[in-house]
Amino acid sequence: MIKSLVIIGLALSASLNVLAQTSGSASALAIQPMAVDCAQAASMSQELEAIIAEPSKRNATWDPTLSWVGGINSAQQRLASAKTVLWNIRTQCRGF
Amino acid sequence: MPRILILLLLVAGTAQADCYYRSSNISRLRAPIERIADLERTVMPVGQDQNRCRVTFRALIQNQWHTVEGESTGPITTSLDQICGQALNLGRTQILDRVAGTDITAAQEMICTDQPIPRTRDLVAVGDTVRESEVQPHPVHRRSFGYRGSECKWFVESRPESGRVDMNQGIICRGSKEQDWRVVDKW
Repeated sequence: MIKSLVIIGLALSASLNVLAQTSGSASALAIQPMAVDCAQAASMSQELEAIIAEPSKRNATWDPTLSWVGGINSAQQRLASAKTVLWNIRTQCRGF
Repeated sequence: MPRILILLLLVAGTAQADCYYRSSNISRLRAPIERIADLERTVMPVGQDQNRCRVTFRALIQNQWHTVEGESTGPITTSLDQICGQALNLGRTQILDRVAGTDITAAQEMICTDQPIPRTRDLVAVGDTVRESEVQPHPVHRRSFGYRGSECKWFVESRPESGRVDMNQGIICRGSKEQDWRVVDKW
């Protein structure tokens, strides 16, 4: 299941996209705005914290989403993508 | 401790460790000040009946931080907040003239100060204490947010490395001191 994340704001500057696409740490999608369904924030936060604690462990639920956000699904990329999504949750949803 | 601020337009000789060159390139493009951070003010009496306020701060213009100074003098009957407000406005006007004015000129000056000068840091680590203007603002997440009772902000960090650009994102949260922010995460 793809989690309820929506990437918006496709009109970012070209330079930003180029910068991000050549990045070793963050993909273009990872720095774009991300809308979060705060109704699922509690469960998503819990799952993401588990991934961050153990990024080398595969997660069938989250891997497609994290791969979509951060590109190649290595442990390092999974960690970065999980942090991106988690901090988007903390930014947009109160109390997380 | 007395604060010293010396502006030298023409400087010969070796720069001291607490001195730095400030360069400015003035372009035709007009741009607003997006954010002001790390504001410090120094008030000193001038003669019997006047006060002088000198402010230094960092201004974010077109995604670049600039160090700015402004100074204003007023009678002791005027509140310090008002005098310092004038100094802040002068500094804002001057930096906008320099950075976002209508003429194209280049200038360089040396500033010596005993105040800590915030500069954008190449790399920060989780746990570091930084000034807000020592990190680059995030291009997307510009507004602060609340996390565990603290005000927090996103930042980005990029460095060119042999033909590619490494980019990190991170979070800073305001510390116990007004000017201090703590790096709480970076990835």
